[in-house]
Amino acid sequence: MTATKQVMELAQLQEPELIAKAKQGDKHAFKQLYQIHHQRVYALCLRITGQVALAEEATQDCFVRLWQKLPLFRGESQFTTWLHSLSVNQALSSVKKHRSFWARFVSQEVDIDSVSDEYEDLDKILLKLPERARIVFVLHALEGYKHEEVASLMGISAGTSKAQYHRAQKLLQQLMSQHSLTNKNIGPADNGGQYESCKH
Amino acid sequence: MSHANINNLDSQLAKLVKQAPKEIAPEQDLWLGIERQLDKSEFQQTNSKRSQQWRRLAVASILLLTGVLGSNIWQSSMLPTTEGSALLTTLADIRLQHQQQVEQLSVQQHVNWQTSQFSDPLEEGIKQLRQAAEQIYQALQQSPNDKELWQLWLWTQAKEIELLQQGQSLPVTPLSQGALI
Repeated sequence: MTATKQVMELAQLQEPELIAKAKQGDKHAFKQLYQIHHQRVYALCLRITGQVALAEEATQDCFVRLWQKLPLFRGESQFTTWLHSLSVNQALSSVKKHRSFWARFVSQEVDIDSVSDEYEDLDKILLKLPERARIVFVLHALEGYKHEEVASLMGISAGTSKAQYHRAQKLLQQLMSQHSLTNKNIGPADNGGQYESCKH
Repeated sequence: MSHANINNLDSQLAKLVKQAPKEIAPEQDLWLGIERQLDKSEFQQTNSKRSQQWRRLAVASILLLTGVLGSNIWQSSMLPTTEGSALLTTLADIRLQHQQQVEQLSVQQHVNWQTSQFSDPLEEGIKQLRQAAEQIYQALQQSPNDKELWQLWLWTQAKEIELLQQGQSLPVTPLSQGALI
């Protein structure tokens, strides 16, 4: 069977079949799984790590970890939920691994005035936030984790998670206010200020 | 910032969050890097399996070698003990025979040569020989495998007998009591 034909056939398979094949060591099936999920994983990694290079590395690490852990997936939860949890942990691990020596002792403060006008959406201003505030905001506001869950993932207290979340909110609002983001790109809010969680 | 402004920013931030895409395409293809790492991890796993097999084999070899060596050492340590106890028995037997021989010579003593004028150096020599023999005997009990000690001990005994026999040939004063003659 040629590789192309094999890929064509794999493309027609459903996700559970791809998972079953990948669990047996089929790399083509695993690549299909990568194709399906890598953008979601990359988005998560980029928002958590705050750097493109680190996000790319974290995404790769996620899929290598997935390959190693896949035989342990029993299908008791949804694959996307399982992969999401794995990816969050891997991204947080990458951040921890690459955190600079001094960053462990000195809090990172963002200089609002230094932010460029080039951003056009939330992701651009998210990258300007201090690390801990950004991660808490991403996990709580974008990924739908409760503060207790965020606290557990990050090894902090729920109170710290809440404080960091409010800090992130204020910094984002400052960024939006100073750079007139609202006037440029966003229409009036229609959800009453309540963030919608999109946790898998 | 006024309250209205804050509310406005809050709702606009909520809007941004809602509009945030769930997926972002990476700027470059990440699959190649992943594939390389998969191959590497497989290679490492194979190597790790091989190294684990080698490690098991090495541990088994070491255990076997230790067992064989330990057994040999134990046997060799047991052997001297067995041999040593046999030598100690022989040592005690020889000593007993020697004492019996000395007693026999004393019993067969026809004359009291010890009262002779020539007896002093002989007596002194026998006394010294017996002291030496006793010390050597004690040393032999500690190290029964020492051939030189054995030779020395046997020599002292032989010399003692020789001196005793020489003493009997000395000009003597007849025994006053219990003489055989």
